[in-house]
Amino acid sequence: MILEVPTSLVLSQAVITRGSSKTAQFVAERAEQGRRQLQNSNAIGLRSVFNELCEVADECTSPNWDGYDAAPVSDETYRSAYRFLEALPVGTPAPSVGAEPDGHVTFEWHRGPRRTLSVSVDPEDELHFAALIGHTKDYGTQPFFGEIPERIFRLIQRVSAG
Amino acid sequence: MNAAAGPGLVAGYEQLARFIFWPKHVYANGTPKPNAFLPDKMLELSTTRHLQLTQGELWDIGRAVGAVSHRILNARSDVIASAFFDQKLRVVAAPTANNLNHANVIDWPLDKASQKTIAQQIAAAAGPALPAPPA
Repeated sequence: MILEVPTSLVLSQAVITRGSSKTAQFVAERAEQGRRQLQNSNAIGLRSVFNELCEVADECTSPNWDGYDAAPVSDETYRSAYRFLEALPVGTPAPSVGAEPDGHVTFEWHRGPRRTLSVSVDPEDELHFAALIGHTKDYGTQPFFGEIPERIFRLIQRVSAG
Repeated sequence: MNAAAGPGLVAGYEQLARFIFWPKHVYANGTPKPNAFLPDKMLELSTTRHLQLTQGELWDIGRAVGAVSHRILNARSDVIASAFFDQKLRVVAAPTANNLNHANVIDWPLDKASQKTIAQQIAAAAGPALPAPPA
């Protein structure tokens, strides 16, 4: 059976607020567990993106992978990038994966040269992002605490909409 | 002709080639990704001025650059120098032994997010990633 989940419905659940009571924590943990199971399923998840991340990390483990003396993608960066992917809400459009000269991993939502969002994950769990939507630019840096920052999530929605 | 370029600024109307060695720096539709235009750790982006070079000579330079860095040339994307000036960057001639037309794009901001937004705009202005012909 293929479960169809409207993207807008799933995306609207993106920013999760957790309560502090034991019950709230239990519910949050179970919800997280279920979400991960869904995320990892081939039908609606990001399995191919996890595979692409693995491939990119593999290709970029040695310096100079780009021919211009790029830094390798470290294990720490790979782990941060993996956690970023895990944190994406189910139903999020799949990004493509890349790497940057400083060894950061990139997740990119790209509909065209002027409708594009790039998020870099570094080993210190900082997210450097830049979006170009028409002639509008939005860019900055946000810490990653295990959940997708709302500002970045809104940009994913904007780039992917329509 | 392999025109020698002395030190100095590059003119805004000049075409610059960015050689691409990692296939994942090119989208499936043949356009270059912004990551292909991010600066290296010296905060420089390496390019080659077309000047009077033929297409064949340009590709030869790309292969020579790849031979030095032990990478196979995958593609090339051409960008007009003024696209860098529009981002408040400068392009300076920096001839090397194997590339007399070499030029560096400099004055990149230190902030990573600022570099990324600039790279996106350069990629939007760049020509398609032309696949390297067989040697």
